[in-house]
Amino acid sequence: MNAVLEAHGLGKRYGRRWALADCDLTIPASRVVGLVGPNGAGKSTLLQLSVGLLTPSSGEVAVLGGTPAAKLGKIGFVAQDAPVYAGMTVADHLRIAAWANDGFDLEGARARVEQLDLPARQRAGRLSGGQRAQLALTLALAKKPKFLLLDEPVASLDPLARREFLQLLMAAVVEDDISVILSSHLIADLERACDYLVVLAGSHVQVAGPIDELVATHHRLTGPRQRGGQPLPSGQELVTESHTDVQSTLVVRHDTPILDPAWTVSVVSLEDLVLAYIARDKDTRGKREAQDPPSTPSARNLKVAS
Amino acid sequence: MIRVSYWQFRLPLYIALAGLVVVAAAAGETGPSLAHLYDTTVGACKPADGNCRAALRLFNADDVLLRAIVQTLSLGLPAIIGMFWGAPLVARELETGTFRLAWTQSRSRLTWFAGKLAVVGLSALAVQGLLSLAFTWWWSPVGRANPTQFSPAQFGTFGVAPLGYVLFALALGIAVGTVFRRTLPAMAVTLVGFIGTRLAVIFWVRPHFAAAVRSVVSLNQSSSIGVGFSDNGQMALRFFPPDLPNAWLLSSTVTNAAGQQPAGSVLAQQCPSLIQHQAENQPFNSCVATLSKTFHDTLLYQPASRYWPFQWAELGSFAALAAVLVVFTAWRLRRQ
Repeated sequence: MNAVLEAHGLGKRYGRRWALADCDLTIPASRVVGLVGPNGAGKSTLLQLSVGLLTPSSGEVAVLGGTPAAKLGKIGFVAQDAPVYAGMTVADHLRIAAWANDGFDLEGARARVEQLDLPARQRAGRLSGGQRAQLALTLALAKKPKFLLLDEPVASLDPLARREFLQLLMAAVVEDDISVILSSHLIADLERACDYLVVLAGSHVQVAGPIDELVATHHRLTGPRQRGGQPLPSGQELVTESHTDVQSTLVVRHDTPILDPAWTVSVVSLEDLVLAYIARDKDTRGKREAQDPPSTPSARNLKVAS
Repeated sequence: MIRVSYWQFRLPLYIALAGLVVVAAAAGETGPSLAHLYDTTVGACKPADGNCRAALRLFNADDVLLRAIVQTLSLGLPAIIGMFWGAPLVARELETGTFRLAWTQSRSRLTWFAGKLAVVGLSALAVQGLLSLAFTWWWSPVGRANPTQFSPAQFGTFGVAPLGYVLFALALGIAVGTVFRRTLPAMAVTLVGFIGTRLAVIFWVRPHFAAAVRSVVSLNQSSSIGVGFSDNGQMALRFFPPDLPNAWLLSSTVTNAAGQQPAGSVLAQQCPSLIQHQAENQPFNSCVATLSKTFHDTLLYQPASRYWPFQWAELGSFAALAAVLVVFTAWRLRRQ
């Protein structure tokens, strides 16, 4: 078993809307995976399906080689906004987590709480957002998980708390060889921590792979204005294109070196790479809507806005 | 998970136990004087002297407020527990998002639910049971003086039935909270649902726990007979059924062999003098004597001896409803 997460045709539907559709995804072990996409892309849905908080409408998901329910003891999960019991103290949280999990490292958790300057007798409802996130992470880590999933863990934190949180996370990951997946709508949040990237947009997985590989195989091509869609050479895949009167800019994914001298090849930052895939998703959806006239008012609004 | 549930529930539990201590102290303080009052009034009167009605009135005039409080508390406690312990049990987790913490620990969701159910359910049973015990002791002189154990208020206050009510109210609160996912509306619906179910059982279910006993008695055995006017203004006789201490009288119908009731036309025919001299006793008594020859009183009732079987049947019915709600909730939680 080398994959910590394997999804096949995974989907979740709410009424008529698919929050996640046709998700095929394999995440290898011992990676820190950034799950990136705009709000409403299905990141939270994917993570909640993976820890058994949601049941799939279609397909299946396996974590650590089993169903989420069967592997709960080996999964650590920090939910969005790090929910805690407002009326219970920090110490209470550690105590009941120790009762609810076999092999919970209570001593380690207490030491970490002290080290983080979390007031043990404070009610969790009066903690700051950053402290709450640290408490939630401490609880998840003390389970000694093999696989840690974090849903937008830093979204509500200020930059300093964000850095402290990621430091705490990375220290634990190095120490215990945990596989991690954490989601964010901003790649900048995760860039320093992650070595693997999954881009989710429009409830579909757009691209997934090791970050160094993605960076090595994506480039921006700048050249004279292209008239009509000239086909790219084989081994090169267009991600997005934009045109001015005289110039065309493409982002392509390529396995083979780019030899055409008409193009100026430049490096794509990770952020631009993510944005290119999100833009591609918007584009294809726009085209689909142009073919099938939108029937619902919301779909019409979307088109006017874009 | 029992420890987890207990730790999270200990504050409400301590509050309830403290309340119980206060109620027990109040009952212990006032109970003996009520018993003493009974011994000196109803307990001391002799039917031969004819002073028992006065003694009963004297006894019943005392501690009226306390009696009302006892009945209100006892009838209301299950609703309170359903609203404040049951409704938030799942709803608050869903509302605040803490279910994402609770249900991603190592134990399954159903184990979590079972732990909650065990701790809160046993607490509710203990609180209601101890309260009922204290009230049963306190109320015993009142019960002896007023043999009305089957009255809806008393039947639901004492015995084992309240245990069924509290289980049902709790399960209803939990189930409604799970469906509504919000505490406040769940509390309101729990209250309405609980009261509605209790009333429905009183009127439509409880009378049928056992086939009523049918007994035909002569009019002379009625506790009293009076003259009055029926709805359409005609004169009618009123029959008050005989006293059946602690029994539950369901109906009392006066008919003749042909099934006719002594309506105005029958009265006019049988007792013409009563219509003319309605204020006098003589024609009235002779009229009753005449009617008794052809009319009789058919009683349908549940005898006093059925009190405990009915209490157990009531407990069983509400416990079964609670079980159905718990199974439903577990099913909902699994496919959440």
